[in-house]
Amino acid sequence: MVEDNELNFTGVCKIKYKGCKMPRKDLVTYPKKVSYKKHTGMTAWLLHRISGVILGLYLLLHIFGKAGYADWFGALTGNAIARIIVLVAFVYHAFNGFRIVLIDFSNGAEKEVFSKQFMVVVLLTIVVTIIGAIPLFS
Amino acid sequence: MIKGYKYNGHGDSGLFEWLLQRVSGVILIVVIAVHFFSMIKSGEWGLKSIVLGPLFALGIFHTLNGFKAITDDYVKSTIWRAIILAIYWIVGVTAAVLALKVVSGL
Repeated sequence: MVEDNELNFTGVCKIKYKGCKMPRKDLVTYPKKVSYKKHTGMTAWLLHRISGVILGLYLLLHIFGKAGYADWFGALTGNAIARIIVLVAFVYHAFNGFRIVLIDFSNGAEKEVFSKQFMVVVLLTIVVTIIGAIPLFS
Repeated sequence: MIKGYKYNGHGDSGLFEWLLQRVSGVILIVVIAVHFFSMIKSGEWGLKSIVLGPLFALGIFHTLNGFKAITDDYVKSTIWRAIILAIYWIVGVTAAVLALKVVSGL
């Protein structure tokens, strides 16, 4: 068996002798191109990322706007539609973030609850967005 | 769930950022909800320092740490990663200073 110090971290043999084979079967390697399958987790991840970028940009521009450096942003986000978009992004990002915490610290990654929890996130997002949107339009 | 995981003290493991991203996320849910729903009404609670302080501090960290995670996913070059990280730091520090200005001006 090859010792660790005889290999670099990609698993390529630095020295050549009989026991060193390429590629090593005992190392986790990844293909150069990863093809993604349509999956609940993929959808959740993509929506989490998009909503996160929306919220991140909103927060930074909100701070710059309130400090007087981006007055146009206040006018842009003053209408109800823009607020609804931010509300949806926040509510989804919050609930899905909580789901991620459950995956990390509880049983959220188990097959029998994974999809169910995502459906709960979607349902809660719709309900809370409607509740939050009522005062925006009233 | 990973059982029996033990932090071994590697300074560059990203564990601290990962943990702080989760902790800040949970706190942000509370303070943003208070800020949002308060601002629709009178704004009394939403503009208090106890709400705006964690919102700005943890919000800026959570945002820029999230942006860094996206950068690490799509940018391979170490040099470009360092340049983009430096930009995030400049934006973050600027936003923090401006946030202090906004909070102190209320």
